[in-house]
Amino acid sequence: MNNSVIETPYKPKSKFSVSRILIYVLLSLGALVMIVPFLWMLSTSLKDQQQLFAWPPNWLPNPFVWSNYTEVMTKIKFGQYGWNTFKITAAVTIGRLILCSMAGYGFARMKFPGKDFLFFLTLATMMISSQITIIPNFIIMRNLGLVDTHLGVILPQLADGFSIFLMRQFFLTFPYELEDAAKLDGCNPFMFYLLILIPNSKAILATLAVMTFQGVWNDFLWPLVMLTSPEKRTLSVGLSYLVGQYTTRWDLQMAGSVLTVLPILILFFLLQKYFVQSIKMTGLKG
Amino acid sequence: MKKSLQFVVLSALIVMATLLGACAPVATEAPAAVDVTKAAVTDAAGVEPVTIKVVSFLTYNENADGAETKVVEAFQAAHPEITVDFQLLPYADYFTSLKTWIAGGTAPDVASMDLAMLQEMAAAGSIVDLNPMIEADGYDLSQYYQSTLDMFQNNGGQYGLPASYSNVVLYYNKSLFDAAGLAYPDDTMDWATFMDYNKKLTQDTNGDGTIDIFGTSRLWWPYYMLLTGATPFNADATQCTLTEQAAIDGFQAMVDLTLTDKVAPSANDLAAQDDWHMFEAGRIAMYPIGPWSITEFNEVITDFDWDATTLPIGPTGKKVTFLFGNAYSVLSSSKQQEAAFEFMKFVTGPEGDQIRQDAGFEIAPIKAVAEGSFLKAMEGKKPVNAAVFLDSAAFAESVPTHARWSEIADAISTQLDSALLGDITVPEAMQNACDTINPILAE
Amino acid sequence: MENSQTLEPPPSFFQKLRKNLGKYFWGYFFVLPSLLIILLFKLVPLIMGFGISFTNWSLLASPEFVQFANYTKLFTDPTTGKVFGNTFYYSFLSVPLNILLSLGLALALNQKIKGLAFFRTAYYIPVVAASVAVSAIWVWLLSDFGIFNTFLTSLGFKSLNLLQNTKTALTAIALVDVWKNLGFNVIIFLAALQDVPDELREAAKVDGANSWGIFKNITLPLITPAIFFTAVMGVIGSLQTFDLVYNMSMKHEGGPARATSTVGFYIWQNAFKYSKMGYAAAISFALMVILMVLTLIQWRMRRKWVYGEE
Repeated sequence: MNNSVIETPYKPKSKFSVSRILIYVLLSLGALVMIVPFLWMLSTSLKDQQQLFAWPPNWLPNPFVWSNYTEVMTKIKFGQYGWNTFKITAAVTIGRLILCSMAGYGFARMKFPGKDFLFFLTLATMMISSQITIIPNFIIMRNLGLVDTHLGVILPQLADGFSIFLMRQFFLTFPYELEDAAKLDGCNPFMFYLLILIPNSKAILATLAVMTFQGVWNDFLWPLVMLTSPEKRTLSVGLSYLVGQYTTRWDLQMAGSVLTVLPILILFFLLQKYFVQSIKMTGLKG
Repeated sequence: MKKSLQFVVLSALIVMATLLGACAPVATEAPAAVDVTKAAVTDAAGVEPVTIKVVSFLTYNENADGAETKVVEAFQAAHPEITVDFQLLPYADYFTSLKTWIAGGTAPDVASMDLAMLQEMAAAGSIVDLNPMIEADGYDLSQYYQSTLDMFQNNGGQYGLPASYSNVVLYYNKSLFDAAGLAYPDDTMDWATFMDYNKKLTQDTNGDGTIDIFGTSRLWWPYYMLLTGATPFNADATQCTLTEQAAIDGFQAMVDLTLTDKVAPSANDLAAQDDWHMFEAGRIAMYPIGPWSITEFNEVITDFDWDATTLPIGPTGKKVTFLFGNAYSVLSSSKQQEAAFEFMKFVTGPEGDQIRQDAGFEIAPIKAVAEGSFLKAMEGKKPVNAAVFLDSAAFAESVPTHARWSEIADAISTQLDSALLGDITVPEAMQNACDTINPILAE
Repeated sequence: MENSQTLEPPPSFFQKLRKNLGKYFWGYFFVLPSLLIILLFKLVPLIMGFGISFTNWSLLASPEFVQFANYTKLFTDPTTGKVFGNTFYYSFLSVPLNILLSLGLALALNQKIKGLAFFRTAYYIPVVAASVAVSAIWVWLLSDFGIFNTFLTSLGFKSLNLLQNTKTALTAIALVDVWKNLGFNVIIFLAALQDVPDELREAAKVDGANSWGIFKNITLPLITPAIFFTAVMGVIGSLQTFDLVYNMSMKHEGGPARATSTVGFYIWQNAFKYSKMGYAAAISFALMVILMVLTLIQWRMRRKWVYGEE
């Protein structure tokens, strides 16, 4: 597998050319801008309560209060809520990957009556504010008897316009040669999808996986109204324990936020190798 | 062919939507299936087992650690014939959830509310007027502080029983007063003295042009309206009265604090550090705040000594403080209103209040519990003058009530933002506010 | 095998259907599962919402039909203009900025550079963090003692009051939006760039094309589907923006003085704060119509510049 080097308007002549250094500098500055707020989040999460109001504000906690993390994890049942959240998020992610990649392929390459209309309808469902749909969805769930169940939280999220649209756009660029070759070999579309399309789309699938995971993991309002039993709650709802009627415990809130971010970052790291992949055109000729 | 298929799809969708929409019960009608089946099991004679569903946000924060569950357990022990399905929820978005459940037909029998929630639900008819049940039961209301009961009334009906309350007092930083050579404030302090102290205590300690220590901090804006006896609208809520002199004077006093006299932090200052943390850091001399601060302030303030007094007498000679409170109410959709009322009596009664008070959650509205337990719990803690919390109840007022209060409040607050930035004058702000509010009142 | 032409009446709908069923079957097979979910959980609520927009439902009481009163209010209320104006400004600022920056970043990150995984993660972290925490941090960072102003004062300028100033608050939040969502588009573009087959690039190099030519004639066209995606999603997403405004405006009021109230925020306010679900639904549908028109325009134009669209 070769990592392709894409030609940009700058063509580095050697490893240490000016333009290459420039790129590094700019990237690093940009990365710094991206990360600095998290340094503050991290810093706040490690402060004791008196450090929170030190004036003028300082960036380095003194001392480092690691117990904020243990406090948050015991005050909020991180284990239980984390597991609940993971279950829901994993189910939606897997479901979406399957359903939306199928639909994306259907919209990208298949012909059937009403295709454009149905696709536009799919897009249209993204244009209605979630504030409006949450109550009708809740009513539907009530009629289905799925209130206060994880299934009820998962079901409406198994497919969405965003994912279908994303998959469609990517499958549009899939080389026709592979499809034609498969047809000649007698593959039906599903076999093509399963054996050729998906294995060669790891980059976009990994991307969709991370995006879906992150969206569902951080979701607040839908799990809040759907899951009333305490043992079924999710992390984001659990974290709101720290937001009182009048005040907020920022040191614990930041520690909780750091902890919540970690699983997604771990997933992101694990999927790194899938982000780098090019389409194999070899081996399918003839 | 394409067109006809599209038509078929569309019709199917509309049919499906109508069917599902038809299943959606309209708010106050069908309650949850559970209640229906349970209510069906009713004997004419004897005590039948009853289940009520209760949701609450009281004590759901890390200071009071969910003590409300103990209240419910105590109730269960005392009333084995009533089973309570109890859920403790976060305060954040509580009302959104409650509205969703009501709209979706899974409303509880009893729910906790804060002032704004209760008034809105009372106006909509979603909660019951408890007076009939109170009278039939002979329940003694005099055990509560009257102001805490008044808060939760609407059009003469009693829509909630208070479970906890807070009011606002004035903390003062003794070290700052000592350094400035000023006498500590007490409950006789009038507005002139207050402003005098403010000016003397506000300082730029390091000479960099920005104020480091402020005399005081601004309270939530309705206070300044109550202070001068102004009202947002007239008695029958048909006309906006903010353009009257009382309102203008009250809000001018507020704007002066930040803009003219610069003794209170502006929104910009507060973004760098909010007033709560400013007081902890010793940057505010006189800080108006409520009892929810007691636990944390006692833990973290070690650099200076502080105590409390009542809020000052206002510029027109009136003394007032804010009253906040939480109550329990019975929902109109409940099929178990008698059992619900039994629950209410317990949780807002001496037993319930005692447990909550011991956990340090606000103040008990039942006089006996407050005077007995609150002060005892405050022994050894600051403010030493903790009695001021109870004394202030005598002149505590709450925000005026209206079914559309949220919109009205936002209209006023929007204009005050501009006034505080100096973009418009206070009279202009009031005029603009009334322009927005009068149509709302007319609806 | 094709049928030869005979003199027959044209096939009826059902005959055509049966003949093409094999061909159509696969299409429906792939899209139906997703469509069922979307139909039930997105389209039905949408239609229900549309119905609600003709009522004055407060969620607490029974809804009553008010016919077009909500829509009349929508067109006559001055706040509507302010809120929609804010939102368009927000969108026009954040979407192009986001796409240009993220495309550039993706191109830069697609090279063989050290620390690639670190850079990618760094740019994605803002996307991942919860809106609540991130907003609180930015409010502080943009305040007098925050990084932004200490930087300015160290250069000798006066500190700027960005978020509490009616003229700059919305711009500040829009820029935070770009900051937060940059990584989102970066990984999409990275995935798109991965799909540009090496063989094509190699072949072009062999033919003597230079790097700019390769970018312009091979890479860019092949990633236009991704650009189309980010453009459409950018418009749809930014015009509905809610989270950041809710969390960054003081006391969740969309202020100061409605300077930061976007349509998404205004819908929430009306639905859940003012208990005017009917009006909120009407606003939502007005926005939806606008979104549909904008998306339709982009959709119609797609064949002109997007690769692979039939």
